[in-house]
Amino acid sequence: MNGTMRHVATAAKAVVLGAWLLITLFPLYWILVTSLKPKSEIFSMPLKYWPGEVTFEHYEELFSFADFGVYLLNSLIVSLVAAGVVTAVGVLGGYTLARFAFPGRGAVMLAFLVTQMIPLFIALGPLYLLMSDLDLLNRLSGLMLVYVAMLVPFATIIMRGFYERVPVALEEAAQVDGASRLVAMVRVVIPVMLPGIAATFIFAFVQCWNELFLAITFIDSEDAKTIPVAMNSFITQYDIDWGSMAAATVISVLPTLVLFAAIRRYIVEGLTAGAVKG
Amino acid sequence: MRFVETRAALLFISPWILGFLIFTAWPVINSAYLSLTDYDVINDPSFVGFDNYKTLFEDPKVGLALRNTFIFMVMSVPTQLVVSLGLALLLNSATRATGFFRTAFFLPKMTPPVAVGILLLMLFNGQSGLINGFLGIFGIDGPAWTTDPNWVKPGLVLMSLWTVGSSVVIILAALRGVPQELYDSAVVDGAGWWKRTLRITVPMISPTLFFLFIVDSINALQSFTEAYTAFFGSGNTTYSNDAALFYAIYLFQQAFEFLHMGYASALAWLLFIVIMAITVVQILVTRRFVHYEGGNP
Repeated sequence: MNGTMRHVATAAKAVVLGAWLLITLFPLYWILVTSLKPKSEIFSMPLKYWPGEVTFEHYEELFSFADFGVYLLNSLIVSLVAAGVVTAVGVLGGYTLARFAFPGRGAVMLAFLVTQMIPLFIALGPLYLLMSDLDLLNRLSGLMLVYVAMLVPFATIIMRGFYERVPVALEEAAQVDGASRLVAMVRVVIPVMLPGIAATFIFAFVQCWNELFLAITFIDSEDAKTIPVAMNSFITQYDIDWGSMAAATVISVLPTLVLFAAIRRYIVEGLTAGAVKG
Repeated sequence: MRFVETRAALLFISPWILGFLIFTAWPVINSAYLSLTDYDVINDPSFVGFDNYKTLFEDPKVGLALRNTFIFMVMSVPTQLVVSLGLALLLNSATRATGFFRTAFFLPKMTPPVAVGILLLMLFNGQSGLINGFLGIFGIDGPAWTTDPNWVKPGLVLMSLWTVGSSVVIILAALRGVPQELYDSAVVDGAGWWKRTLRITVPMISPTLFFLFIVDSINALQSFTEAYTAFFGSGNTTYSNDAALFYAIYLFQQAFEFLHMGYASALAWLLFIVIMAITVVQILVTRRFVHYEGGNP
């Protein structure tokens, strides 16, 4: 390949990557701009790529008329608590799978794989009845419980992967120095693992924050709705309030994007945690 | 020591075992039983044998929903795979800002699926959407993506490409694992970029592509949220559209709108069987093309 051809190839690559970058980011920009446009401008043709005048009326409307504050708080509580519990269970379970040889270890891994294979739909009806029997329908605690149950396998497997990167020698050295196994874990292993633990927490948080299917199944009352459930009901038969919907979308996307910046390095682990060999 | 270790292990792992028994094993068994009953949540389930399964084959909506879901899978899975492979190859050969692009491409995957459904309605709106506005620049009169039955699925497929970033990241990680020596010797032998890509890169990352192919297909067969939000939101009949009635949506409607729990359970088992059958066929057909370093397992 001569010099000119190489330059052409590099330029072509840059153009394609740049175009896809635009495709990726522009919808996010578009929803932000739409949320700041006055109603009259949202559907004006030709399209306005920048609001003529910036307004926060849709955000005000969302919080004054639509109870969005309640949904926001519900989503935060459910996601934070569920992700916290999931991470704690994952820290213990992952350590167990990575460091202990015990009878039934194979069965546990198999159970995990089975959980990943079964479509959620099969369990949905009985889960609903179970929640109903336990009087946990329309309660945040019920939703948290289901989220924890659904995410524990994922958190355990991803934590196991992180533990396996920490040399066993590190713990053994501490134990030789007289520390008990528990102390060795808390003082030596956990500090090394902190970034991984944070990543697991954030993955779990985002899963709960974004989840619609289970939430819409178990939550029907206004005071227990999470953001996705509320957003799903914004599209009504006769009226779509695009401005408020855009504002709600911006609020729903914001926390996940901020958290994402913190876990960039762990994306691959998070994506493939379900695909490990047992 | 061994006993202590086993006891500790079981203690640490017990939340998972409990969760598995209560929230997976029991519901699955119960669902198999429910699928043989007539059950409306209010009255006790009454046993009806295989009636629900017989009804499945006579219900025209089941056929429609299955057809919609298959068409969506056949359209979206290969498109996603080709686009993500292309982007990953470009990123892999780029020298600068790879990390930035990787991060940026992944962003849509962090967006709530409900928001993706809403974005679809806004971007693909026939009169005032961004897509048709863009096409208008070139004098193209874009279709009514969200209302014309023929264009609903293509719109959903295009929207699904927006979240292709996770596949790009996985393929990119696999590309990084291909040994450089292979390329070096191929260059010595005079192989051009295309030849190297087709003969070395693709075979070397074929286990990853195969994994994505299977996982994407299983996910496509269970598609729910984006289409449900865009076309079946509560009270939403303006946009609801038979063309977007995916199998999972129909199942959900049967369970929670019509309260046919027994029938919905039978629907769920049919979906499970279909997913299993398709996965097995895919594995059998594509296994020949997958190259595992160190021999096939």
